Amino acid sequence: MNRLRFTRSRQKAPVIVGGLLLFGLLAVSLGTLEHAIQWHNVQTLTGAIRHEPSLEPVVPLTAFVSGDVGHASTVTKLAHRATSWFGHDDLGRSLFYRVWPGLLVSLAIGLAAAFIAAVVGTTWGATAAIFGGRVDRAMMRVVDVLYGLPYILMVILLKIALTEPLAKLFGGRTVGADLAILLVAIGGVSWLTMARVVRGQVLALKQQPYVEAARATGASTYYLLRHHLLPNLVGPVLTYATLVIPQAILQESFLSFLGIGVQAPTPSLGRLAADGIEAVNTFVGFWWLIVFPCLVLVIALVSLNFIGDALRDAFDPKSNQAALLS
Amino acid sequence: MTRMLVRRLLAGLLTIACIYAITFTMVVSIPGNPFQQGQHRLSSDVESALLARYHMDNNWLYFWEFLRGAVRLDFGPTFTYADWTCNQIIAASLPISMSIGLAAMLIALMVGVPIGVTSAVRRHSWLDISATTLILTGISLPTFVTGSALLIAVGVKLQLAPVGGWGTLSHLPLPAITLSLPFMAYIVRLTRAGMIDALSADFVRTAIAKGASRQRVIWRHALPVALLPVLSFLGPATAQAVTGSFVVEKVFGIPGMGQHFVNAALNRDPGLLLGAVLVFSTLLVAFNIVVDLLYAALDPRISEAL
Amino acid sequence: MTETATILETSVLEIQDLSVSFDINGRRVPVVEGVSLVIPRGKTVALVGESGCGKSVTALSVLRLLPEPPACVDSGRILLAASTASSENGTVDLLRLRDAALRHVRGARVAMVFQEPLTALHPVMPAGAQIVEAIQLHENVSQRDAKTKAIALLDDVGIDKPDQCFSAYTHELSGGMRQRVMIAMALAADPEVLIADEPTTALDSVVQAQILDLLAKLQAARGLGVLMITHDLGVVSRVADEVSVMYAGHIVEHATTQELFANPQHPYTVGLMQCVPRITANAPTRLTVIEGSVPRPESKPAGCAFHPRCLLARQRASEPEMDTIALEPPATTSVPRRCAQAASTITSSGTPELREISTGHFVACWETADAHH
Repeated sequence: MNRLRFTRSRQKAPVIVGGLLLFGLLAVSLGTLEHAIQWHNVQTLTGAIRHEPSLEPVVPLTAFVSGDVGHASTVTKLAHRATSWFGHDDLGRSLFYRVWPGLLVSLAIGLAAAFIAAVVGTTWGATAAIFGGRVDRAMMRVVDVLYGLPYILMVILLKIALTEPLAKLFGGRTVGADLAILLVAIGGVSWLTMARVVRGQVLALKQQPYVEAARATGASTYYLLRHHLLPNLVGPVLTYATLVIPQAILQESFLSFLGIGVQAPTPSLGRLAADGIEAVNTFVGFWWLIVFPCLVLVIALVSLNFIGDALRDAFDPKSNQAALLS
Repeated sequence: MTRMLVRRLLAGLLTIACIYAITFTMVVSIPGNPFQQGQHRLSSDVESALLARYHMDNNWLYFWEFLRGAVRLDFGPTFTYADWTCNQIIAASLPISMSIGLAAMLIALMVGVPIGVTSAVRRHSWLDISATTLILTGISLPTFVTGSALLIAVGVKLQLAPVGGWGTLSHLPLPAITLSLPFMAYIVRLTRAGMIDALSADFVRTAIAKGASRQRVIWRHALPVALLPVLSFLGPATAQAVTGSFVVEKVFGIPGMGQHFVNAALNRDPGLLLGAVLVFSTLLVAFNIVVDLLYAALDPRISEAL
Repeated sequence: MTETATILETSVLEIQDLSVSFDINGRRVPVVEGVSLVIPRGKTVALVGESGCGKSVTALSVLRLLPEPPACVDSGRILLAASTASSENGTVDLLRLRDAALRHVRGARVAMVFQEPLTALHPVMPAGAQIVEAIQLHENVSQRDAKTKAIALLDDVGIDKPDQCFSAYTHELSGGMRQRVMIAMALAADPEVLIADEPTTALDSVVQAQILDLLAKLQAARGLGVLMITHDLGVVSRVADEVSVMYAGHIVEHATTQELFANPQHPYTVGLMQCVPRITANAPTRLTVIEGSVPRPESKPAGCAFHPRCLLARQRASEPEMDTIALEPPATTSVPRRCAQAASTITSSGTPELREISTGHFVACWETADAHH
């Protein structure tokens, strides 16, 4: 029941397009990473403040390369040319070298939140379904109640509540501590749907004749878990985890909008978009500050959603049924 | 039916109580209190006197005192806005959020359902793929970006609507459209999935065999069944929509209720926060019961089980 | 038989040389190959075979109810005789009708009863509303008249309290009641042909008998032509005037019911009959089974599709001077070469064609036909 089936080429198209786009974005991010680490926060490029995008670099090569300009390699020269492609922000920083590491930060937040959601949600949902009865009812009641809380409020409260203890744990408010707080806050509310999905799957699997047959032959709970339940859960869990990534990235952008997201100067796509909106709202001129971060954000999120949706379709045998009306 | 209603109401009260308890625990466990905010620092004597005045020095006492007030629909004073009570703030902002929220849900349904149906009927066609992509793009942009884009395009460039504020009917469309987008995207997905299931069901083949037209099969036979999952989504979604959205309110400068959730949390204002959460959870329970009743009316299989 | 001209004097529906294939993972797999059937006016023709032999596909393709894709009607004609009521339209080929014209045939002239009434009836529409809809789709009558007619129909199909049943939902009815509602709905627009796709398979045996009697009664009363799809020879002997036996997408034998039961010729038909317990047998005899199972459409054996399971072929292979061919392992037996080979010298596919061995009795088998020469 768990075989991946893409029956038609047009069904495959979103996965391929999504995968290629995501791969392309990642390649650019990683390719520019070395220069980005060096340059994302450099504000000394005076004269470049809110400079609009241009193909020619507005900062001199001497400002970009320390030391002997004459011996700058081709790669360095190309990296230098790229500084002005996306324009510069209000501090004169190159947006190009903030957007790409920003994507990596956003993806890292998304992936980590998805991982937390997958681990907590699977454990919670599977435990409830396996024990059944009262345990199930109680555990699912908890999920219901948590669903009843205003989602974004929970993220904010968790974020505020966790800031001090986690900062202590990491020895000060480092970038790592900052990200960890965000992750727990976002992951802490993302596992609910996963728990419901996994519980539903396990309950359905428990009814499957082959599981009942295995149980009738005296297979242990561990054996059932290892050989029947977990392999069948991989599909749905992977699918929903893929769909948690874009959600988490958007939540981070919301927190950035409130000013409690990723702390400056670390860039994330959400933080850049929120900063851009501030600039655009006061003065409609600086379009690039909003357009480029959002463009990358949209491409990344649409790709992830494409992949997630296609995975869900592929794992769900029902969605492959041929319909009479077409 | 009456028994089901009573049972749902009791379960709802229990849910509200749990939400209150959890929120309360979180509120008192976050560091800081409403009197430590702002520029000037109060002396510790004054601070502890204020905390004692509002029973905030003892969590248990505060828990029960607030609950006692809340049962009588009195959420006490707020510390975010001088000279206001929480009741006044909620009474002023909830109607605004309600009108935007209901308009947003209406838009989300009226646009989302037809798109979902069409893309299910023409599955994997270019129409389906472009509708899906458009929807995905819509929800891939943070609301503050889509809202600002709408504001700039319609409000500033075309000058078709006021750029912000609240008061006349012309203030309604832009925030309602912005707020509707994420809900619309979800409704499209649910409708599409429901329609795909329904269209491959046996009863659709029966309807075709009877000689029903394509349109009749889609709208009259398949859609009522396909809409059931959308209906269950509507309960929590409407509760969320009518209690306002911080982003939409900030972008359009609307004095709605969504901002209070965020501001109260950031200002450590427990009264306003708990009051807002209680309003939200009551609405949530109420809308869920309404949805259950509608569900029972639409699906005879369920009404019997109730 | 495959070359029958389009004469529909006594018959109401003719399926001619129908071939249907399915697109399975990009491969075109033939599921029904060159099937022809004639349904005489006022008679019942049964189409019998194991599950997977293509009988339901044949039935569904009459009203074009197969999802296309993956299904594809490759060739053939499905002719519906000019209706007796309205003589203005002549014989039509259902496979060549446009959607709008097809809609006036579906339900109105050819109606269907499906196998599983629980899923085939609408889950959230009352039974009466579904029948009223079927009436109003084809007749210009008021809601009230339609309701009166629907209740009369429910009464006709033997429902005790038609008024109550009218407002009941599918899940509130018993299995037998659901199938009666289904039949009432099929008859709502007074069709000339009824296609019943395993109408009693999902029911228990007492209800099965009642439904079959009901169908027989209604058929006689209304002069319906009925195509009864079933895997149950008991059903065939009870209701059918003529029988076609289907195997792996081909019709392998056709005769009147009496002739077929008295004198089955195709080894597959013989095998099917031996599978059915007989109460009349004096001594309790052991039921025989047909070894193996229906080949999957994508891996049909060459030659006669039945040869790997055929007892007659093995028997004939042991005769001296028979040109035999060994079956592929793990089978250890041989069969006559002409049964198993896709020899271009015999026919293009090597599949035996239907031959008339006595009046109205057709068999598609190399060995049986040979034996009668």
